[in-house]
Amino acid sequence: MTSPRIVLMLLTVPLVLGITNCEEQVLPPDHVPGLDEPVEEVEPNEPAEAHADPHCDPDKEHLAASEPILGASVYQLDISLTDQDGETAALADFQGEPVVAALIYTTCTTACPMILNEVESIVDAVDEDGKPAKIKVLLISMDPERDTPEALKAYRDFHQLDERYVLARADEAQVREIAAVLGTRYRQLPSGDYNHSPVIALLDAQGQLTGRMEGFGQQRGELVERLRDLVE
Amino acid sequence: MKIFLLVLASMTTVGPGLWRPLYPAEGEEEITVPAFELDEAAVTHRQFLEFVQEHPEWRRDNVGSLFADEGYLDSWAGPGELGSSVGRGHPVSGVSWWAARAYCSSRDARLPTEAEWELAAQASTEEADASEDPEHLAQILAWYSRPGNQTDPVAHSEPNFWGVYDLHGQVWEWVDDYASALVANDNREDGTVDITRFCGAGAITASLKIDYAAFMRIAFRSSLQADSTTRNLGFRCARDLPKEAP
Amino acid sequence: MTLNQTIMCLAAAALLAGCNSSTSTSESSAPSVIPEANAAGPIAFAPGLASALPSSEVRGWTPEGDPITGEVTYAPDVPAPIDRDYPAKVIIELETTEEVMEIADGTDYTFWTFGGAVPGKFMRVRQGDTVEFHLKNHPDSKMPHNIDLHAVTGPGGGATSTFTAPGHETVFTFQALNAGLFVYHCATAPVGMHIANGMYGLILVEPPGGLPAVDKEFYVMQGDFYTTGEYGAEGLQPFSMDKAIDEDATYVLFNGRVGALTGDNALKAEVGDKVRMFVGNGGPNLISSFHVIGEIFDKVYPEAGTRFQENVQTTLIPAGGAAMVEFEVEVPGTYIIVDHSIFRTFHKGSLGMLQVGGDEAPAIYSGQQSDTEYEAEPLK
Ligand SMILES: [Cu+2]
Repeated sequence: MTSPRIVLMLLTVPLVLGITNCEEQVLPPDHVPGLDEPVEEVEPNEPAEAHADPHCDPDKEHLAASEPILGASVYQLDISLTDQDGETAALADFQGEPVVAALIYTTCTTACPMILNEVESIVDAVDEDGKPAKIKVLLISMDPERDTPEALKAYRDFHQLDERYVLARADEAQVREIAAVLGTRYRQLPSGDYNHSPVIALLDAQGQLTGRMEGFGQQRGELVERLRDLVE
Repeated sequence: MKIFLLVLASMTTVGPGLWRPLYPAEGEEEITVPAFELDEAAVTHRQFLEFVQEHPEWRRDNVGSLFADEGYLDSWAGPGELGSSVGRGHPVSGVSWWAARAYCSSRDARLPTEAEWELAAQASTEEADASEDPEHLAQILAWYSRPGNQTDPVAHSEPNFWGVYDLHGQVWEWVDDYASALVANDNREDGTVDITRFCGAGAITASLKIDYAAFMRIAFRSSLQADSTTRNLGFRCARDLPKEAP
Repeated sequence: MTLNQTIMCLAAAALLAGCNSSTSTSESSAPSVIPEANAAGPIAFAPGLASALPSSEVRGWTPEGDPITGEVTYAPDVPAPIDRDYPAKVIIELETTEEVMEIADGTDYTFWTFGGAVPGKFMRVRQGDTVEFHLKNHPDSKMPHNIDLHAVTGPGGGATSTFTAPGHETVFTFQALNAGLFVYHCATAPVGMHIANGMYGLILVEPPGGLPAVDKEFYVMQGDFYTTGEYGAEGLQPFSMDKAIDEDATYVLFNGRVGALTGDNALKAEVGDKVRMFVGNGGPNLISSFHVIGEIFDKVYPEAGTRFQENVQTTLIPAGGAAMVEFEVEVPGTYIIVDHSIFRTFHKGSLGMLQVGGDEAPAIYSGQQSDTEYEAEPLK
């Protein structure tokens, strides 16, 4: 036994949570993403159907709503987020606007500040004449233990991020799913820090991954171009 | 054949034990893995077919592209049938992480973690920890000299110390935290990761350089995405030990 | 280069530039370099690949015209010389596979390959070209693979950008900044095993002016192999990690198989042909003492660098390195190609053949003229 944290990780191996009802995920056309809606509480040990429900397919007739969730959309995932103000929302509530998404944690001193820097420079490049582009930036913590809403708020304030930036946390099992769709690799170390790959992902209004950069600088221009296209 | 059926249905207790990761960070040189339950055999094509029949959303013609790439179950004759060229009792392959998770979840189970899987897999038929037994390592390595995607029916060989079959020699297997392997894509960096790429990384070097199969597993896992389905990749399920009665 | 010219060159090291102009007009203009270490003898590095530009000059080039699909060939063939005077975008596709093939008659081995053969396919581009490289990993592969091309300037030589799961395809683009003959290989862990299983090949980056014309070009690549069974043991032979670590090769081969260059597979040329061999060494462990029995290399580009050496009998080729050798064949017959670490030839397979047809040249080589007994002094 070298570290209590390791044991904790092993004991809290992710359980697949929640039952997704596809219809519930399809948002009404006038739905405004908000963080004030009640979210179903799920018992961690509750046996469940696979919540990643591929019923949510655009070809399915019963889903021919005005905002169908596509087969490639991350909004098929049933993920509950808590933001820096302590309010909860579903990941799917971000549907409707392009989203720049990344996994970070607030006590990270090396890669995460660089990720945030990259994200800000991407957003700045897309904002024309100081007019903020209609996008959302979703920074999800991979460290739900330490990143309380208060910590997220402090981070957001410290970096003077505007209201388009949402800092959010999810439980460990759901962080793993978010990481899976963004293609972020990460691992908690005994020190409590994380090893993680610096990934910035771009989701279109339907939640499809339309751009992704790993590392810094090289693909930024491409991502900016795609985001511009999405905003238009 | 009776034995097969018994085996297919059952889990066995593995651990507790110590696992030494190949690329340990500081404090990770030895990890204590609590006891857990693990499928004795890998999930078979037949079992996965039953799952798909009960959960048609996981048929290859229904699944969303977020959850599986184009190779998903592509060895099957059709979305709901195996066909004659697929061995029913052979390990299923061509299954994504999402699909494997969904299967386990339908059985009130989960995928094993990397630490759990590796703990189970370091056992030989005789020993719980044969990770430094050259003969054992050589046997594992022999799989890589076996061509293509040939498999045998599950549980055809001897079980290991824990009573688990085929952890080596048949197919790769998903672990839940497959994305925790953070070796650089260029493996000659010896796991020493660039601080600008990976937060919090110290100098990490391989601990047991003769365990080539372990290098391969890590390289393999680090090449995967959650939607990846390869013809040599299957899975088995795990479960926490039942809570002891107070 | 004719024999007379060769003699002339030997006699006049100081006139090397002049001598070169008789074989290659394109190589006459560069300054000759005589390293200090050679001050005592006639050995000197003369200029070669004279039209190769410093990478700094090529850096600004942008591809012109339509993208071109790069020609790739199996050993011992080499793609045709590049007939192009502008930098292009070249698209190259390579597929990694894991296949059982014969390593010797009756002995199978599971090779891991670039393009279905060992060595991997030969690629040929022009200095300054922009190469869009596609690496596909066959769905039946067990392993992920990547590629490190020594011709690439950038992290991992491309390996960091091409880590490819079975069934996947990765793409990256590089500009070929330096001319030369470069090894490529897989760099996935355990790297030595991927190389030992045959994951290597050569990429030639021609100088902008091309290489001097020759009559025959061949692709030969050496590699060492490690099997659990001994040399010639029948059946499917697994890789032996222990032997590989001990550098105790079971096979040392040209072009991936005992007999890949002998008998019907021998390289063929005619008297009077100028022959150029692109020789690589994939390793993973052994250095090659590359030698053609009965020939003298008129020119060797040691380590496949830009300057050539002349009149060489045996050239060292490091693991992960290459050399270009050139010679003219004057006398018909069979020339044995060996690694002159000679036990490898007799016990481990490093044997190839160059069969030269054409008229006898008794003035150069008479053949046996007599065989008689003689009066010997008794030994003390
Ligand atoms: Cu490889």
